[in-house]
Amino acid sequence: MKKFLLLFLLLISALFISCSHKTTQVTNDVVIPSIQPILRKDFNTALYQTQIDIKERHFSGLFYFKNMPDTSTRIVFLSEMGMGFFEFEYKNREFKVISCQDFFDKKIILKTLQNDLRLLIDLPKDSIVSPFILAHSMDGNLTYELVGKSESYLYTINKENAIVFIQEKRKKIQVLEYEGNTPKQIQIEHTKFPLKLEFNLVNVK
Amino acid sequence: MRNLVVFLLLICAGFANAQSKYVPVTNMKDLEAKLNANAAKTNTIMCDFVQEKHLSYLQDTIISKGKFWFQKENQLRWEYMQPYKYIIVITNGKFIIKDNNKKSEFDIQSNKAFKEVNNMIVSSVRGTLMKDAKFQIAAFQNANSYLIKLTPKDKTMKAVLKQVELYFNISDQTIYKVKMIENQDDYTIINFKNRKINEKIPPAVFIVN
Repeated sequence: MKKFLLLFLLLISALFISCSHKTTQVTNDVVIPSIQPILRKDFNTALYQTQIDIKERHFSGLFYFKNMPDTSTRIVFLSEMGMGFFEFEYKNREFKVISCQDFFDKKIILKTLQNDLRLLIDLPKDSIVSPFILAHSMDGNLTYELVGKSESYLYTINKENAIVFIQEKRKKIQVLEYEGNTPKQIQIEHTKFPLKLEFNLVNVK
Repeated sequence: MRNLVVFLLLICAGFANAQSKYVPVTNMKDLEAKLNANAAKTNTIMCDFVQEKHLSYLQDTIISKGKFWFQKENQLRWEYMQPYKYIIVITNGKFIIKDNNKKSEFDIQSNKAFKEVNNMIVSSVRGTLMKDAKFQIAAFQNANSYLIKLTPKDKTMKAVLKQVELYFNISDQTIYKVKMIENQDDYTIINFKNRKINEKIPPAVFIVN
């Protein structure tokens, strides 16, 4: 009897302790959702009106994303009046610069922008989802850690399995609103480099 | 009989093609005089525009629409209304941009880039771009219109633009289309419609809140 009581008390204590912590080890009963990128491959083209604040400069224009038949993605940033700022091709997890105006054609700016865009159209390179739910909010959002080669990322996804927040050491990405599966408003803010981007959906086809 | 019909159709097609084909203008001074005379008597312009950005490799076109106002000497409002909102106003030596809800203001004279853009926009609209020494100019005409091709000489502009084409109605020398060709062969066409000349423009048009 005493033995069973002790075991019962231990089980109750274990239950109490596990409830008070935010981390929950995944058991066989919990399914880790397959995390999709913020911009999924289920559209042909998406057009966003975008503001970029970089160092002391402010750019506004249109970001045009196109998923190509060969599974690559083309990204064009152009002014509202039609002049191109830059165009990238994203293929096999690598970026290629197709064209670029002077201001953006600097290694640090290109690399930073491309890393940001990668987090919109893909998951971090060579990353795996850690099997721990780090946080479970009242509105049903779950936060997971994605561990890459040199960086780790916290991904918060909502009940519809869409990404609402990404936290990385040097930046955070927020998706403020979705229209179906398509993000309607995205903000990227860097903490160590003077760069902020805001995307507002114009149309998606 | 059938051969006659085919022959007549071919003749008509050839004739139509000849109508649209451009040939070099033989008398540039005459053309310049006509455009200058038109510019001299134009005090205000109001019109709608449709802009098409052609992405050549991507085989896609981004279409936007808006309104345009111009008042002598160099007050201008260029407002995109669909599918996004964006406003450029040039007034009282200022270049004002409003994108979404963010308003930015720049002094034209203190910023070389804005000064150049201001000069180019105003010259394009007034049809006086032919006087601009920064461009190599070639002029052509067909039955209905003049086509002026401007090739930038300036290194900075050459990095952005390959050529600008201006289309004028022969009947009244008003500009109805602008085509801007970039170096990767992407190009932007702006068609002007519902043009109103020399009508009064309310001063509030050139104020951005």
